[in-house]
Amino acid sequence: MESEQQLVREFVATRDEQVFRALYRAHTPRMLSLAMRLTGGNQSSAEDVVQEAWSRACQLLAQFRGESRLSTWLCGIVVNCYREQRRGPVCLAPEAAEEGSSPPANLELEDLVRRLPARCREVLVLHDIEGYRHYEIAEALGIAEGTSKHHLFRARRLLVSWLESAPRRIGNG
Amino acid sequence: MDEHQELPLDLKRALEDMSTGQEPLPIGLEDRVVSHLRFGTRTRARRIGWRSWIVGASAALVFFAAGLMIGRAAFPSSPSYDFVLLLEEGSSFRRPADAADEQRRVGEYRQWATGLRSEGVAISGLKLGEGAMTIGTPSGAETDLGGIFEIRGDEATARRIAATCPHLRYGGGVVIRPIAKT
Repeated sequence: MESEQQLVREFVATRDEQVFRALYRAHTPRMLSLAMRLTGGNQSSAEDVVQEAWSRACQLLAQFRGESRLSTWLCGIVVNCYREQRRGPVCLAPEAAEEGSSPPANLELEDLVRRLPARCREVLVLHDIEGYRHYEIAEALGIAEGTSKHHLFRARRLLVSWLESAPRRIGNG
Repeated sequence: MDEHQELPLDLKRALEDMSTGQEPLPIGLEDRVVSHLRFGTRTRARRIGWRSWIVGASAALVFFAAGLMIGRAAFPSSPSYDFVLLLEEGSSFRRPADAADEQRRVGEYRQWATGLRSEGVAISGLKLGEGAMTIGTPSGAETDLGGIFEIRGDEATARRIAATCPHLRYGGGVVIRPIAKT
C-alpha cells in the first residue's frame, strides 16, 4: 500500500483520477464527519463543503509539505470552506436548538452536539473534538479568542445540562 | 458550571473519541466530486500530452464560461439537485405584517424543510432580499421572487413537495423548474 506522501506526489505529478479516488476514499469519511458536525447534521450542506474542500485541496496539494498529517491538513480546508459557506445568505435550513430548550431524551451524544446553537457547536467541535486551540479557532472562524472561549463555555454548559437530565446518553447507557 | 471548569472526564473522553469517528460515504458523492473536478480539468482519467492539455483546458474554460452565462452561477446549487422551486409573490401574495411576522414565516419555512429532510428529502433553500438590480432587458413580469428551494428527486417528488410549501398559504405561487444538467 502506497504511503500517504507517495499518493500525494503521484497525484500532483499525474493528476490521475484513480490516484485521486484513492486519496478521496482514505480521507473523505473523516472530512464528512467534521463537516456534518459543523453544519449540525445538514447532509446536503456538509456534502457541498466536502466537495468544495476537495476542489481547493487539489489546487493546493502541490504545496503540502507533510509537516502535518494529510487528514489534519484536509480538515483545515474543510473548516475554511464551512466558514465561507456560513457567511452566505440567509438559509431556509433546519435550525439548531436554542438555549433553554431540551432535546428529546433518547438522543446520542453525537446528536446532542449537532443540536447545539451554531456558534457554540462550531467551537465545541473544533476544540473538544478536533483538538484545535482557541487562537486557531479564532483565526479559522474569524472571531476573537475571547469569543471562542465564551462559546465553548456555553456549549459545555448546555451539553452538561442536557446530559444531567438524561444521564445514560454517553458511554454504554 | 464555572467558565474555567473542565468537562466531566467521561464526557471529555467521549468527545475526544468522536474525532476518530467516520461518516459513511453517501452514494454518488465520490462521482460528483470527481465529475466536478474533471470539469475544472483538475483530474484526468488518462495521461495526455501538454498540447492536448492546453486545448482541453481552453475548451473547458469556454464551456465553464458558457455555463455561467446560462445562469447557473446565480444559484448556490450543487450538481446533486434536480429541481428548483421558485417562490413567486404576485398580486395575490399577502406580505408579512411586520419584521416579527416575517421572522415567524422564515421559521415556518425552515420547519417545513426540516420535516422534509427528516423524511430523507435532500433540500436547501434561500430567502431573497429586497431590491432587485436589473441588467439587460427584463421580462416585464410583475411577479417578484421571495425565495428559492432546491430539491433532489424526480418530477413527481418535486410536485408533491411544492404542493405542501407554506408559501401557498400566503397566496404565493411555486414554480417548479428542472435544473439542466450540462
